[in-house]
Amino acid sequence: MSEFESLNVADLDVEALEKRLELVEPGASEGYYCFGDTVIVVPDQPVEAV
Amino acid sequence: MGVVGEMEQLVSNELRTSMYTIYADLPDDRESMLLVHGYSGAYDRVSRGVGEYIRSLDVRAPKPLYGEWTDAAGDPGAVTRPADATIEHLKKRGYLTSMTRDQERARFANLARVHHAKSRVKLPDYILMPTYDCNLRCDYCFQDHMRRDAAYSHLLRFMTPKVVDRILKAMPVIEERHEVSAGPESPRNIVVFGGEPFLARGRKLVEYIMDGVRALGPVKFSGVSNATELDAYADLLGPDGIATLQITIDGPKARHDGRRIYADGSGSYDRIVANVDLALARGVHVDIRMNLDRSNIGEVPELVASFEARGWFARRGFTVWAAPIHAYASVDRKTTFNSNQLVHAIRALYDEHPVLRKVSLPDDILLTRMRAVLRGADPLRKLKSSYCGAHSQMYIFDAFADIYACWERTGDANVRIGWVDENGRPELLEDRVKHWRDRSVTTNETCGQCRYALHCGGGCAVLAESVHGTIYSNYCDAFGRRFRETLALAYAELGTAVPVDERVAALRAL
Repeated sequence: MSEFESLNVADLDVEALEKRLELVEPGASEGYYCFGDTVIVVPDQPVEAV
Repeated sequence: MGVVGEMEQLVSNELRTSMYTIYADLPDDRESMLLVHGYSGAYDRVSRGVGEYIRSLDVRAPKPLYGEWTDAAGDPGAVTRPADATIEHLKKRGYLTSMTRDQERARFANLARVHHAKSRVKLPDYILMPTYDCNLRCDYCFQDHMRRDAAYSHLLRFMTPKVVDRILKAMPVIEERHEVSAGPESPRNIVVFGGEPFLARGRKLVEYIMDGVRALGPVKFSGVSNATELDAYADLLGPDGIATLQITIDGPKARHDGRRIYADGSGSYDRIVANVDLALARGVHVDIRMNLDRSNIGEVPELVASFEARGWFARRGFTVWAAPIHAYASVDRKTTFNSNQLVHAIRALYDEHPVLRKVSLPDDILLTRMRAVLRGADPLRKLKSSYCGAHSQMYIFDAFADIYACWERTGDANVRIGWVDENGRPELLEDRVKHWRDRSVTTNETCGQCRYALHCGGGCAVLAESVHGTIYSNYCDAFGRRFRETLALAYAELGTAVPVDERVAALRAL
């Protein structure tokens, strides 16, 4: 394999992080759930588009 | 610049490994490994040699989950420097930095603060508690004292329609604080919680709540119930009514009836099962929660097989998940699993009991999030600068019109964050609001230096307080191990991800 392979956001530049964060719309932090941190999984169904 | 300043500048220009670098080795791959950056959101695959180079510049690199580092990996002089192009990639992704540790901590804190502020500009999640009363007496319940100790008997009354009216008037005012308003695209989320919120004698009140919130605008209802008297609510159940219910079953009939008991010691299993059938027939999404510890884990296969035998898995909108009972209050730590141990305990039963693959596990949220990121979702949207809605936009109203931030801290007016006055005006105690809403990964020393912090959020405040005496502390629940194991899974299983129902997700962890 090569030494390095990006798995996401290929053009990511850590120096521009503050600007990128500004572009994230308020309230769009999808990591938040009102009751903590679990998620439902329905087996045997195809993934929805992200 | 003086000599000391020049020296500091010289040192700071040298590359070192970011203190927020996460190493995720792969169980069956000794040639490569995954790197994740704790605040840039980068996910990358690197050769083992590059991983060892990064590790050699990391003063506190953790041990791998699988296999061992080579002896040379901790010695910068003994590993091969990657190609210049790779070094540039590693710098751009955040793994290599010329910042000092203090500079990097400060930058991390600033990014987390911005993220946390954004997370609060969001339509509130409302939890309405019609009563603290319950018809069951489960030993492990965090509210059990309210029903067993006469000193708390004053709490067991029901919310009145007048209190409901006050709360309804307060909602739009609260939404103004968050600079948002509800509408067709953003319906209010109302969770009905207790005590047991669906006692037969509370039926008229719950209907009054539902009618009142509907009059305000679009709304989605869900609830958490023991389901023993759910049949009294049959006509309120369904996709346009109470659309999602979390219901707890702790084991096969004998085990369940020994744990989830009425005051006279009798069991609740038969009534609950009948009402799950009813709810499914009405089109409700039923999410069964199994509260598990070391005493009932062995019976999970039998329980899940009974769900299969009843045909529940074939019903649209039926799900089941495993939740650890936490070592908290009177619960003996020796009897419990942490989240990682529970995941392992369930997976260890997969081969013998394949039906258990239908059970959601505590780290499925992580798995889903990672799969989304690996499919192109913006990783910054998936970060967590705090743990749950108690630190952003959750409002819990009880029967006394008191407002709380966290359902684990209800029933004590001394810890409320405010109340709704007689005119429907929310009176918020700004110092208490700040106490809860300000908790983030920047507000304690441990999280501020943790490479996983923005993926974890700092853990549950109440559990952190039970260990450290303050909510301004960390509750790790083996998160580092869980993160690395889950990432290895997400990477290995790309293409087999499954959909998420956020309304059900919102009911879990209770």
